[in-house]
Amino acid sequence: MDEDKRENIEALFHPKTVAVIGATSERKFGRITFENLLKNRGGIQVIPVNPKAKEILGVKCYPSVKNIPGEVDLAVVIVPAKAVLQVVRECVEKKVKTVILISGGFSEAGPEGRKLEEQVVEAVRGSKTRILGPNTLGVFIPRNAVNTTFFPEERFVKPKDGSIAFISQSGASAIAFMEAATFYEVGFSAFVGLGNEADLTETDFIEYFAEDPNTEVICLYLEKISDGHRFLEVCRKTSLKKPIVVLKAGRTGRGARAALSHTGSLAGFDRVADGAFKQCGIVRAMDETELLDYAVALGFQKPLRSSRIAILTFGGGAGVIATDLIEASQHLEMAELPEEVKEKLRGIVVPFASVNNPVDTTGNVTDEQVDRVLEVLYGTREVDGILAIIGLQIIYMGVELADLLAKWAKRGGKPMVVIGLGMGLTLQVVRRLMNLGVPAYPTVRRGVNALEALSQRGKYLKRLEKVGMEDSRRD
Amino acid sequence: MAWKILGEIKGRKNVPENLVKDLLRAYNIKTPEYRVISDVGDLENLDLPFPLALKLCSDRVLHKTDVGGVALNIQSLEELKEKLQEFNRRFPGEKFLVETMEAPGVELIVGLLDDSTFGLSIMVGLGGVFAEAFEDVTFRVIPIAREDAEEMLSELRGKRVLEGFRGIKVNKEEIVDLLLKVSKLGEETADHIKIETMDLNPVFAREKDTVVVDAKLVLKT
Repeated sequence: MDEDKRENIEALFHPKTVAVIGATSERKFGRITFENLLKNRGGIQVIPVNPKAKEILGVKCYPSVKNIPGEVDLAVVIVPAKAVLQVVRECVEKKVKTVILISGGFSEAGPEGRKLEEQVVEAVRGSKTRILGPNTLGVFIPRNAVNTTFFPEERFVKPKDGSIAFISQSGASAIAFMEAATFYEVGFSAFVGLGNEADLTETDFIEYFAEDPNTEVICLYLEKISDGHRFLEVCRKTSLKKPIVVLKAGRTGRGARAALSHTGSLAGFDRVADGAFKQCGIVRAMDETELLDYAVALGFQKPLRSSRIAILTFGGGAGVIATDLIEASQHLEMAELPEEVKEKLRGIVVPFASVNNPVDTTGNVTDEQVDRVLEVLYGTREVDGILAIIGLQIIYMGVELADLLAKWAKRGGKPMVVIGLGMGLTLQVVRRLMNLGVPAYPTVRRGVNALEALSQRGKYLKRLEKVGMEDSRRD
Repeated sequence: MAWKILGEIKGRKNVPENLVKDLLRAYNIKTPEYRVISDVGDLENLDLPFPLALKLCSDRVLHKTDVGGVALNIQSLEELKEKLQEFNRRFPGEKFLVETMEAPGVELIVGLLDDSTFGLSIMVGLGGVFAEAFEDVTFRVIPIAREDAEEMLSELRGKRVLEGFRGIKVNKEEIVDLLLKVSKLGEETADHIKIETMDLNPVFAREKDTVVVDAKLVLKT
């Protein structure tokens, strides 16, 4: 990507000096953002800017960003909309690399706000200063605790460091999705709220995270795509390296041209986006649960090269439900276990266990037996991926089951997804698995859907190997 | 050849069907044989074999079936004259397309649409006249590769109809070729005309070939 733009984005996530313009000691957003930034763990200098204060929370305050001695990489702006233009002009003068406009009251608020937004963009034109926002929460980076949001410490349960970069056109919702996912130990490399995207857009960030060593998978919540052609081109290139998952909402807001043609009326429900996403390897999610579920699966596991799944379960029902879902899936099928494999399995499990697929060991099984069953399944050529369904309501197994499953998921050479049904010990195993880098889900459907995402990604990569490598090299 | 046709098409909004089909034929896309006529005087040297279809060919009426502007399975010159005179009365000053009736096949819809986000996109679906009821369609942004076209067909819920269902024979390769030709048409003409939307509906997919029976093209103005 463009080197200047890379530096602009770098300044958002790893700044050296941050000016908080509109910082205040009153209990307002300007104070919370300032406090949040002060708690960073990146050794980042945080300087308040407010013409009405000498110091804020014990930190020396400057009347303007221009008065701050030395370089400022990042300015976080929380002032009323009408004051933003002047502030941005001063940031340009100060050669601030990137400005986050937290302030609202721009294009989202009507024609006058739109005009103001255009003036703000005009103010940075020709300079090296770029803008994130306006009307955004900004960024949150778990690794160095850079946090420009105005969510107070005690209200925002922060996700841990991880490998998912989350780019969102709705900041508050994305933060809520992330917070909910912390229950299952989902970690993030970065969160970016795009706001009104007056300057930097979703595509700029996809391009950045494609090269970010801390990011394994890029996930996006989108309602609109500003430059469809560039978006597709960047996603196509990025998909070669990293998976992209998109939740594109607002699917039903169409149909204006319905009367003109049958094709036009059939394009509703975002069907063109469906096709476009497939062409550039994007895995599409339909709700926020799928979005993070797929991101976890794709971030933790290799794609499914083929789609034959073996189920390992300790109790019948869930295995049957999973079988139904797999058989009904366009992307998955149940593996046929050869006779000699079944014979090997019979030698491991109790006589009344089932060695067909699903392999149902029954609850009467030890860790050691599970280990040997997995060894057989991982050694079976006719199996491409493993779905392990666990519930620790039985007496024999312990939390160590997580380590056992993780061992095979890491070394076995075939992707594994775990479904953990239950709350007590099972939940502990699920969380431990997630911390060990094994995708684990609390319902059968979510586990099977995660396998589908791995299969979609695998099919796309296989197709690229067949035809697309030349195309992508030509780009 | 495509160049000359584009010259005639350019500047219009609703393109008359004969010109749309001329354009399709320039891309080796099969259509019925057709002639443009105005009144019975034009029937004297008509060199098309019966049965024939008579269709309103107007740049004012977009959905000709809705206004009763289509007569199918006309068996004789007498019948054709009669129908034409009736059409002349109902649609004064308009031109008509007379064309050969095609042997039926599995009915498909193929389309192009200028998507506001992604640009010109191609659609294929099952159903012909039922396409909007089934909603069994899939899109791709053009240009598409052969693999895209194949993938599109494999995504249709009713794909079995194209795979020998109940002895119905369809040449899938021909459908793939049609999609590639339509994609090429959309891509190559983009410098000359701005396509808003194109409907090829129905397309008959048959044992040996596919044929575009009805075609509609709307340009941006």
